[in-house]
Amino acid sequence: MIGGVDVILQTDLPADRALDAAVRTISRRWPHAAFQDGNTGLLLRAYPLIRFAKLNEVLVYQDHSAFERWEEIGADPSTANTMIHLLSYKPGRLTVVVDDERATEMSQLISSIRAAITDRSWRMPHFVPPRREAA
Amino acid sequence: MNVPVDKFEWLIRDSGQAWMLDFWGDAAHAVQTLRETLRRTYDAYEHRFKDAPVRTHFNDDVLFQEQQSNPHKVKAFLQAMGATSSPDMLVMVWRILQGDIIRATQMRYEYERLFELSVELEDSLTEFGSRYSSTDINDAALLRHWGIIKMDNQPIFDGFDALSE
Repeated sequence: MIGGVDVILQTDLPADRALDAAVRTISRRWPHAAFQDGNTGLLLRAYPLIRFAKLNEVLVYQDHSAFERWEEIGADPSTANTMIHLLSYKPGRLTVVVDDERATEMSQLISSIRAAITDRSWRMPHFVPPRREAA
Repeated sequence: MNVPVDKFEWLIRDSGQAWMLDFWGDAAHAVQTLRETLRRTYDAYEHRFKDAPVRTHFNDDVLFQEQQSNPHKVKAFLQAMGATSSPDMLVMVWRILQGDIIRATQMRYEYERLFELSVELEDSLTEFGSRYSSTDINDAALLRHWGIIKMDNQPIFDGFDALSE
């Protein structure tokens, strides 16, 4: 994405979980999203096919036709804000690359991603194994 | 050092959930009990999704492959197995981990009288819906794993995360 804007978000999640949360959040907005492994270029047609432990970058396209347009013409006004590039190489940091972070949809998505990777108010500070009665 | 020979025991220990085995003092018995829960969960999954537009499966092969691809999801699933032995609830957890939308949930509770939890999920691609319910208050612990986001300032429960240890 030439000319895209890097938005760097802080996270306390491990890289794979941060990427997962971000991808899932975008998928809620784009339910027919197509995914591309940023490391290999492999197209992944559905969320369950993504192997988060094996990659550091994911490109999320609005849908399959958006992916084809990007393949065909690349960065162009007609493809603007139809793909989001996520990178997670450094612990505690997720980079979200968009065409225009001020565009309403992108701005809302970035805000939702930020919440998904940082809002952990629902979490227990430490996992406590539940008590179970002996069989 | 003991090397676990049972691959499910290895999976549990590899996911950092050894407490599930050691809590009982008899790891072999714990593995057997958890295996039985898992088998019933696989059966419940196959029964529920046999008519889904896109047929998917849940079995040992899928679980162990997921450990290679997405260990954070398997860890979350195993933690869920520590909280509930209900196959239906565990199917629900697995579906959320596979990206289902948490379409709706209701919880009713009355002190010493009543607990009811129901959850509706939807496959985000096929829109195939599934419903899950429980009257065991221990299953409320599963809700602690749900992620919380807002989209356009509207509420969304999303995802099923492993809790911090």
